[in-house]
Amino acid sequence: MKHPELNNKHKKDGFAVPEGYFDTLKAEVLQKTHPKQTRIIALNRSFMRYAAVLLIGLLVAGGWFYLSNADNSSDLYDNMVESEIYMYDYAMLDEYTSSGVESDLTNSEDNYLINSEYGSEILMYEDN
Amino acid sequence: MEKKTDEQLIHIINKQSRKSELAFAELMNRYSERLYWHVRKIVINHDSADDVSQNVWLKVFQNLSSFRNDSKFYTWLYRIGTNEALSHIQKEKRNVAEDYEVYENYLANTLESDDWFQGDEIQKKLQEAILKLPEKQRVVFNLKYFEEMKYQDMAEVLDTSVGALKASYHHAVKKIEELLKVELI
Repeated sequence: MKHPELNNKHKKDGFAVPEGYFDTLKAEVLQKTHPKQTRIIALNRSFMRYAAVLLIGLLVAGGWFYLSNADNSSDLYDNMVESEIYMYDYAMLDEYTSSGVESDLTNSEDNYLINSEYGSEILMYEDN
Repeated sequence: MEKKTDEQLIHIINKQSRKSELAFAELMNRYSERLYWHVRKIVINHDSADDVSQNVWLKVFQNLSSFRNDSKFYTWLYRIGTNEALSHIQKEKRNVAEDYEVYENYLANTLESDDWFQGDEIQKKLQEAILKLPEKQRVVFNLKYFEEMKYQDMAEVLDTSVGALKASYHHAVKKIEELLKVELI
């Protein structure tokens, strides 16, 4: 170029862009060409089986945990029955002792008990 | 890490693997600015240049599988960019035909009102002179004068012979010199 105004120092064309424009342009184009997709996991049959077993296990464990922590009235009832039986046995024992019921054990069985470690205990059927 | 060639990046993109997005982003890093400025000098307005640039990159992505390495990637990219920018101008011409008798006046007005033209007085006069050239001659002038593209590459971009391009550029320079003489005296 011969004209003095068209030399290299005027090669800048004077056009400008907003700051960060080229990063935005790239992001917008990539969003259209490579959209971020939600990953979809295919559930096959064996996976479903394992999931069902796990769910049932969780339900059973949860149920057991709930019931064991709940107010358990059947345990209370069992304790009351056991206590009543014990009281009954004790009363019967007292009655036998006071009425002097004879022991059904033979003499040899008596001797064995007397010589054993039970000998130190007071036997209810010992002769007065 | 070794820098990959354009052809290697295109190969990765076409495989549609996990790395294809990265490869495409790298292609954009290399050429998005150059492409934008080329388009901007044709359509003048920033918003139009933004629309056209995005369309060009989408077309590149959609047609990359059909790209043959017979030509350089960047001349192929410039070819798409030039065609998109020129068809944008054709559409715009139809829309503004009622308001402007001469389309170049519309472009000069766009340059005047564009917030993103920040050139000095001489740069503005030069752009206004360039706008008076026929569209294809304008493209030839911009590619040679501002981007200093080789005639051989320009021939690939514009699908024209090197001789015709040299003649076109020569005529463009003459016209601009005459216009500037008048403007700056």
